[in-house]
Amino acid sequence: MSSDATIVTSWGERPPERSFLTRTLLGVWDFMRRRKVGGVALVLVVIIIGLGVIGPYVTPYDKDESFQSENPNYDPDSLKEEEMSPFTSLRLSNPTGSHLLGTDDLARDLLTRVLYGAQRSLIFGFGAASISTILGAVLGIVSAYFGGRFDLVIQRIVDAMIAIPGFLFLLLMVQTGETTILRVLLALSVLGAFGVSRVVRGATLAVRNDVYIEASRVIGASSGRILFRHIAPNVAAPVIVIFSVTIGSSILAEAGLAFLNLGSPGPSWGTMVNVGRQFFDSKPILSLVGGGALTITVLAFNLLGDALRDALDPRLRGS
Amino acid sequence: MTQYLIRRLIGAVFVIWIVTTFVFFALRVLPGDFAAQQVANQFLSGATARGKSDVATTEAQGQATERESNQSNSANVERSLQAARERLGIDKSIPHQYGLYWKNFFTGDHGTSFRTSRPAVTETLEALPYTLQLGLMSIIIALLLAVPVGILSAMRPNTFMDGSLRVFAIFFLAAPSFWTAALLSGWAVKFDILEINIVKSPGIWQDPWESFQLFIVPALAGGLATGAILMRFIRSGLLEVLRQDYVRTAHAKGLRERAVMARHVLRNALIPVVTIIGFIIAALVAGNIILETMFNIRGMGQQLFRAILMRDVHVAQFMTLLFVGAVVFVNLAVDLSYFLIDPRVTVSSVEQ
Repeated sequence: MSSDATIVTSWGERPPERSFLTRTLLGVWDFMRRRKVGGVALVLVVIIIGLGVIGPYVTPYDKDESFQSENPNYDPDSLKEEEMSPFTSLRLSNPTGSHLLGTDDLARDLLTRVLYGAQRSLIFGFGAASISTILGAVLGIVSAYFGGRFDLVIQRIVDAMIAIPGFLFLLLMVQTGETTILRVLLALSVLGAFGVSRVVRGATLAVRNDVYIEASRVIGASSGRILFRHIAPNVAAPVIVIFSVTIGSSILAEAGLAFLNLGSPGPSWGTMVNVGRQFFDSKPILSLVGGGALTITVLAFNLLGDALRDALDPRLRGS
Repeated sequence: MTQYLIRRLIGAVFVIWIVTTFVFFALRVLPGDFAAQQVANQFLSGATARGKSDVATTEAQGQATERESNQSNSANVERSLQAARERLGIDKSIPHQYGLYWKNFFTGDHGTSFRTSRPAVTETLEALPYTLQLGLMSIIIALLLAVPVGILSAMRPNTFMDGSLRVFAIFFLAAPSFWTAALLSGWAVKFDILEINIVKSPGIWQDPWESFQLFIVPALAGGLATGAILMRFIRSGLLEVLRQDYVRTAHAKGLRERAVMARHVLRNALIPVVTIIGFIIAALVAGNIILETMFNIRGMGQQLFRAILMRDVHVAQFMTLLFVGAVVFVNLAVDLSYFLIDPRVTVSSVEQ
């Protein structure tokens, strides 16, 4: 009854116009209310992005600045090396008020380096995921839409690239020259693109023979129009999900390179774990912080991807 | 069926051909080659020897001779480089080398290692047992963890225990295995639980106990990461099957819980788990590059890593061939095994 009443009272009235921003925000709010874990993950992701974007500008220290402290054993007359200088390097210090996480093996502020590491991971994560999603989506849609022999050849090539262990592929690509950010980024992107193309191809195949696509072909729509107006919106859901997951896997892969000292220069969580290994006995915090930051970040993006998958595309649940 | 099998085999061979070609060209596009490294080392040691002898010469004289020797040096370097490349067989054009590669491939000649001058096949076969040991230990750990935990989780879904087990799994899915390995080995050494002999790094057939202590940490790290993936698969597979009508029927006709699980649920739930075996093997291989390097285990992961860094192209080429061949044929075997495991699967249903 009440629903009838609503119809009557709202007769002739237009539903409230909502701007794109409002609709997006309402959608996000709805998502957070329904998917508790996804909500937590989203908050975590926002925090990590905030730390990575703002952190490097807020921290009072330079990422390469080495710190010194007054030498407690200072003795101008001494001939022993550790007592000669009034200052000593503040190596591997414990957390203090001015260095909240302490310092690393080269006496640099650890918290500053962790924040720069967040920036680096986000650059590689988002950068690689964006490029590989675009590349993979185009490859997947085109391959599935045109089908036939074209699809067969493309799929065998994708098969081959997926059969190469991912890390081996990265090693080969990164070694093609000096390890710069761009080179690593491209290597990660190409690596991710093949996985994305598989998912997108599957989603395209599922809708390719639907009636509305046949209908638009009947009224003379071009291939481009069908691809962009009808197929692309239908594969958007899996693409968003795989984008989130690819961010996590790209961050992990890059950290693996950095761990083996093959990453681009600069503060990195992967390198932190490697250096921390040598000082594990006395200062386990070095290893713990680097790996912990990596784990939390990847965890957040994975959980967000899972929740998005459940929310956007129930068919893919559990896959 | 025969037609399907032939088509799949052709596909597999095609895939391996693409990978081999890709790796072949990738290895030769990389800047620098083994000859350059060799010659550089040779001249470095020569230069230091010469440096010692003419300490007494004055600065001006020194500069003059240096300029002279630089000129003759660069010619010398060029000549030695050429000689070294000829010796190693990498002086010819890349397409020519590619042709040679396939010619030798079919006679069973996979080239020799530049570093050790032994056949690449020997190098690979020597490394293989270490990799198999690590891989098997990881898979055993992964299965021991994932199967009971997955079943436990699915039997009582959405309870506290299910929740905590899933958190556990999702944590190890995100944690990089080199980090888990670093922490585990750090604590194991600190609390005197294990004695990790990284210098000797013996295989299980050389010194079983020492080898076990060395391998258990990387195996645990790899096994936890793989186990986490497996557990999620087992859980979702079980939940899917538990919803089916035939499970309700089995319950309704009075079968005991255990009989339902063993005879109806598990048999059906494990089918999708088989799917990811190929993926798991690939993941273990990739993870092993880092873990083997970390613990100085002389397996294929570490040797391949080293071969790529040193541009030891024949070894890198053969090891990739073996890796990828294994992945491709395991995947093929998995796909074919469906026909045996699940009578509902037919060629026409697969083709769609």
